[in-house]
Amino acid sequence: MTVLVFEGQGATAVPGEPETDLTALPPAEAQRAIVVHQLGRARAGAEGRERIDGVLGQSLGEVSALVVAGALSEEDGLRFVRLRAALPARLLPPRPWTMASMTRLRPAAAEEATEGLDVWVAGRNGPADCVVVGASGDFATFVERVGALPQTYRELPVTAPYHTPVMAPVAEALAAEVAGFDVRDPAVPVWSPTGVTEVRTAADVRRVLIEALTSPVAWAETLAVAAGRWPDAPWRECGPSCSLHRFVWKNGLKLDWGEA
Amino acid sequence: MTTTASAADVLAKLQKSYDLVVSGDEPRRLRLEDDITEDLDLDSMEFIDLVSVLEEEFPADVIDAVIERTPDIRTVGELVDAFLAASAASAASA
Repeated sequence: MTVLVFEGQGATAVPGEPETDLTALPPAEAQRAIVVHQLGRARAGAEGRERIDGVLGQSLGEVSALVVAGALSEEDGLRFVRLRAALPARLLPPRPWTMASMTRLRPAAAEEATEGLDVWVAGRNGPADCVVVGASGDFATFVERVGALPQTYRELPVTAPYHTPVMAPVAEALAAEVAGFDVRDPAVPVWSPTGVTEVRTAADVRRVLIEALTSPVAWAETLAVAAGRWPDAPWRECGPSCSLHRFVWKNGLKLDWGEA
Repeated sequence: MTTTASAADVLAKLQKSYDLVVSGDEPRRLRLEDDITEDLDLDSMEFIDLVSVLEEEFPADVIDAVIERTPDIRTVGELVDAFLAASAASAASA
């Protein structure tokens, strides 16, 4: 029994780390590279594994989780990833965006500091960890408001405001694409950080794929729920950087966590 | 919570913090001369985590002061010194 976990693009990019630094790649290539890597790691780790009990994915990693769960074909999953990366440039007004992973910042305090700005809390990773995205000028104002030191946040190589209402036109276009996918009920339980729900049916799959584009990633809450369901299972992260372990202990959880 | 600490105390606390922050079957034994980036393989955010974990061991002003200095800290020994200096300053202002 195993729980497989897939990180998002933001968590993956560690500038200067050769194995994970995808910042030089165009967004579509970087996102595809991450998902291909994750699916390969999941397959490679399958030998010697009796079964998969469940899967979870954070942001982009949610696509990998759905492919591994058998809900999406790899082909459709990669097509979705390509469009997810490419459509913002085509459908959104050109505007520089900044996304950053922030620590020592409570999500509630971050929410409060977004007042009146084109800035959103795009992910809640722990009691004092969140991902924030906004128009670059407004993001700078946000940083001033919360008094964040430069060493307490990392700007991510993400060029679109994923997980915010701004992505609505992209979500609409992708919904039309997903309607043509051969989506199936997941063969293993999938927990989604989009609304903290279990993805049980093909309809759920279609819904979370689209809603994820405009909804924040509730990773802390999802991890807590899934940890309660599989407290004794080995949890194996499928790369590339395997950076999600930090949110286990940061959320006060104790899990048998390792790399696939 | 302590307001003053010895270098050995701080190093022991950092060891516990490091064991938590870095997952692995064989946690490294911290040495004062260890380079935080090169030897411990911590990126800047993990370095912040290493310090932040000690919020239950040190007053908040000590943690804040050390975090402010992290860009200038290269080794575990320098980190220990930063904790000692911040603890002393905190105790003096109490």
